[in-house]
Amino acid sequence: MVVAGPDWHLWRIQLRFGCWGGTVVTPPVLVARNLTRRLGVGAAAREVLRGIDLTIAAGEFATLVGPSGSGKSTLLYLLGGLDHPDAGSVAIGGTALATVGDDELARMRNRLIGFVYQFHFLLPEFSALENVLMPLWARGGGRSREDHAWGVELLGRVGLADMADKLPRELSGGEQQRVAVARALVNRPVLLLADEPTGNLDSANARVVYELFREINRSFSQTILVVTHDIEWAARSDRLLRLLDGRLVGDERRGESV
Amino acid sequence: MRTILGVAWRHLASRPRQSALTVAGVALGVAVFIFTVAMMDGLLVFFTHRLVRVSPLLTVLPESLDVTLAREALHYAARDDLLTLSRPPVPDDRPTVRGATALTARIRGVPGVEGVSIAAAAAVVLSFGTVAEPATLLGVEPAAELDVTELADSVARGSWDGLEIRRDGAVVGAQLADRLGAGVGDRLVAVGETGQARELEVVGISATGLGAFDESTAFVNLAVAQGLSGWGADEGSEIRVRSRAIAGLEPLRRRLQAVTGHKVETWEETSRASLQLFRTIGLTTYLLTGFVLVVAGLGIANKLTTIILDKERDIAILRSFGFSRAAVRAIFVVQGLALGGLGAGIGCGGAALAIAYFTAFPITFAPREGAVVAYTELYLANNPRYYALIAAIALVISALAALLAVRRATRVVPVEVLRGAA
Repeated sequence: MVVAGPDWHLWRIQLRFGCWGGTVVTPPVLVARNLTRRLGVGAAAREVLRGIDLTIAAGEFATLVGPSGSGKSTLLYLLGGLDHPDAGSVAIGGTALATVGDDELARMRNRLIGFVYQFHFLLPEFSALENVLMPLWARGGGRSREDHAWGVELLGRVGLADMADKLPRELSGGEQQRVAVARALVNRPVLLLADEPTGNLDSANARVVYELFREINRSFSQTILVVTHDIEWAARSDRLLRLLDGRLVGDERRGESV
Repeated sequence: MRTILGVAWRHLASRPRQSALTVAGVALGVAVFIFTVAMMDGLLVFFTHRLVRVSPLLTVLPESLDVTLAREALHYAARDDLLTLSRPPVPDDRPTVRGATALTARIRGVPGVEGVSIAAAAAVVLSFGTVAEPATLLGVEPAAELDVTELADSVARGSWDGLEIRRDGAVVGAQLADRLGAGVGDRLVAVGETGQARELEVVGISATGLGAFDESTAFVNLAVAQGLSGWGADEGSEIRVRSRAIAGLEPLRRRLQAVTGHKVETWEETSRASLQLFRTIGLTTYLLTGFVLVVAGLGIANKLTTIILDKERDIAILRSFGFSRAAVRAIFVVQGLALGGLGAGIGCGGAALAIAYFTAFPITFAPREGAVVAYTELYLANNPRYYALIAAIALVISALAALLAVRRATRVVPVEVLRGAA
C-alpha cells in the first residue's frame, strides 16, 4: 500500500505499521537532495560532501562504503539530523529536517531514527535494560509494563535476555554493541542508521551483529543504512552505496549496478 | 521529570566521594553562616535586653518643641534679613525639664504608660581618698524608678533601698567603684559644675553589664543631683517613662510629645549609635561568612563542570536520541539543587546541634575593660527564620552555580562529540 499526501504524521504511522505491523509500504523513508557539507574553517576548510542525492525506500537494507575520509560518517550524521548541511536538504518521513527547530528535530530523532555507533556509547550508570529504554524515557514513556516488556523482548532478540540488569561494564564489547542495537530499535524507528557498528568488534562478534541487523530487517522490514568497512557486510546487503571524495559514485542493488 | 531525576541521581551516585565532599562544603558554609548569625543576633539581643532592663523605654527630654520651632523660624528669617543674635531668642533654654511634677502627672494619665519617674543628671568629680574620677550622678526617685527600670536588680552589693534610707546614699557603677577603690559604706565627695561639694555614702554597687552605666555613673537621690547642678526642686534633665510594650512605641512617643510639649525619644533612638554599631558589625560578619557559602557554590559549579566535561559524550548521546537542551539543562540543575539542598539540610541540622550544645554548655569570657557591654557568656539566638533564609540562599547559590556550569552542557553539539569519539 502506498500512502501519499500532505499528512506526514499519518504517513509515518502507516510506515511504522508497515515496518513493524506487517503492512507493506514502499514510499521513500529518506530523501536527500544535493547535500553539501564543508568542514573546518578558513584555509583549512574542505568540502567533505559534494552534492549527494540519495533515496532510501522502506524496508531496504543498504550499506555505504568508501575509503577513510570519503565523508561516510558525515553523510550519516546529516541524514540522521545530527548535523546540518551547508546546502541541500534531507527529508525523513516526508518532513524536511531544515524546516524544524532544534527541539522538534530532537523529537524527530527520537521517534523516527535509531542510531548505532562504532562505539556502543551506553550510559555507564544504567543497566542494559535501562539503556535500552532510555529513548522511551526521553519522551516521557518507558515506565509502563508494556514498555518494560518490549525492552526485555528486544534484549532477548539480541540474545541478552538474561543480561537486563547488568551494567555496561559487566558486558563484553559484543554484548555492549548488541545492547546499543536494542536501544536503537526501542522506539520502533522508521530508519536505523549505523556508523561502522562492528568497527570495534572481533570477527565473531561482528558476524553476530550482522546477523542481528539482517534478522531485524527481515522480521520487521526495518529500513537500515549502515556505514561500514566490512566487505562481507557490503556484499550481503540489499543495496551497496559507494562514496568517494564526497561524491556518491556507485549504487548497486542485488547485482544490479546503478 | 522522573527521567531527569533518575539520570541526575545516577550521575551523583556514580561519584559518591566527590558528591559527599561537595555536600560537605555546602553544609559547612550553611552551618557556619547560621551559627554566626545566631551569635551576632544573640549579642544584639543580649545588649538590647540589658539596655531595656536599665533604661527607660521612653524619655521626655528638656528640649521643648515650641523652642525648636521658634529657633527654626528665626534661623530661616535670619538668612534673608541679616538678623544678628547675641543669644538664643528664648528667655531661658537651660537643658532642664521644668514643671516636672505636673508633667509626670499628665504622663501617668496617658494609656499604655506603666511608670514615670523624674531624673536629673549632674556632671561631677567623685573622689575617694586621694583618687578622683569624673562621673555622672543620675538623680532618681528611688521608689518611682522601680516602676520604670530594673536598675534595682542590677545592684550586686549593698541595696537599692539604701537610697531611700539615706538621702546622701549613692549606688555606684561597679567599674567606677573599682577605680575609686570604694566599697559599700565608704564615703565619697562629689563636686558639681557649680563648685558645690556634697558628701555621699556608698549604699550599693551596681553591675548593669553596660559600660556607660558601670564605668562612669552613680545613682543618687533626685534632690542631691538637683542641688549639685543648681537646679530647682521641680526640675530634671529628663522624665523617664515605662510603657506596656517594648516595640512599636512611635504612637505613644507622639502622644507623649503632644501631652508634654517636649521632645520624646524611644530607647531605640536614645541608643541608636550602639544599636547601629552592632548592626554594622553584624552585617560585616554576615558578608564575610556569606563568602563561605559562595565558595561552597563554586564547589558545586566545579563539581558539575567536572561531571559535564566527563559526561560530554553521554550528553551527546542523550541529545542524539531525543533529549532536548532544556532536559539536559534540567538534569544538571537538578544535580546542583540536590547537592545544595542536601548540604543546606545537613548544614541546618549541624547548626541546630551546635547551637543547642553551646546553649546547654555556654562558652564564658572574662569581662573586658571599656567594653560597650559586659559580654561574659556566648549568647546564641536561635530563630527558625535564619535556617529558612540561609537554606534558601544556599539553594539560590547552588542553582546559580549549576546554571553557570550547565551552559557548557547545553552547548554540546552531538555530532562534534560523536565525530571526535569515533
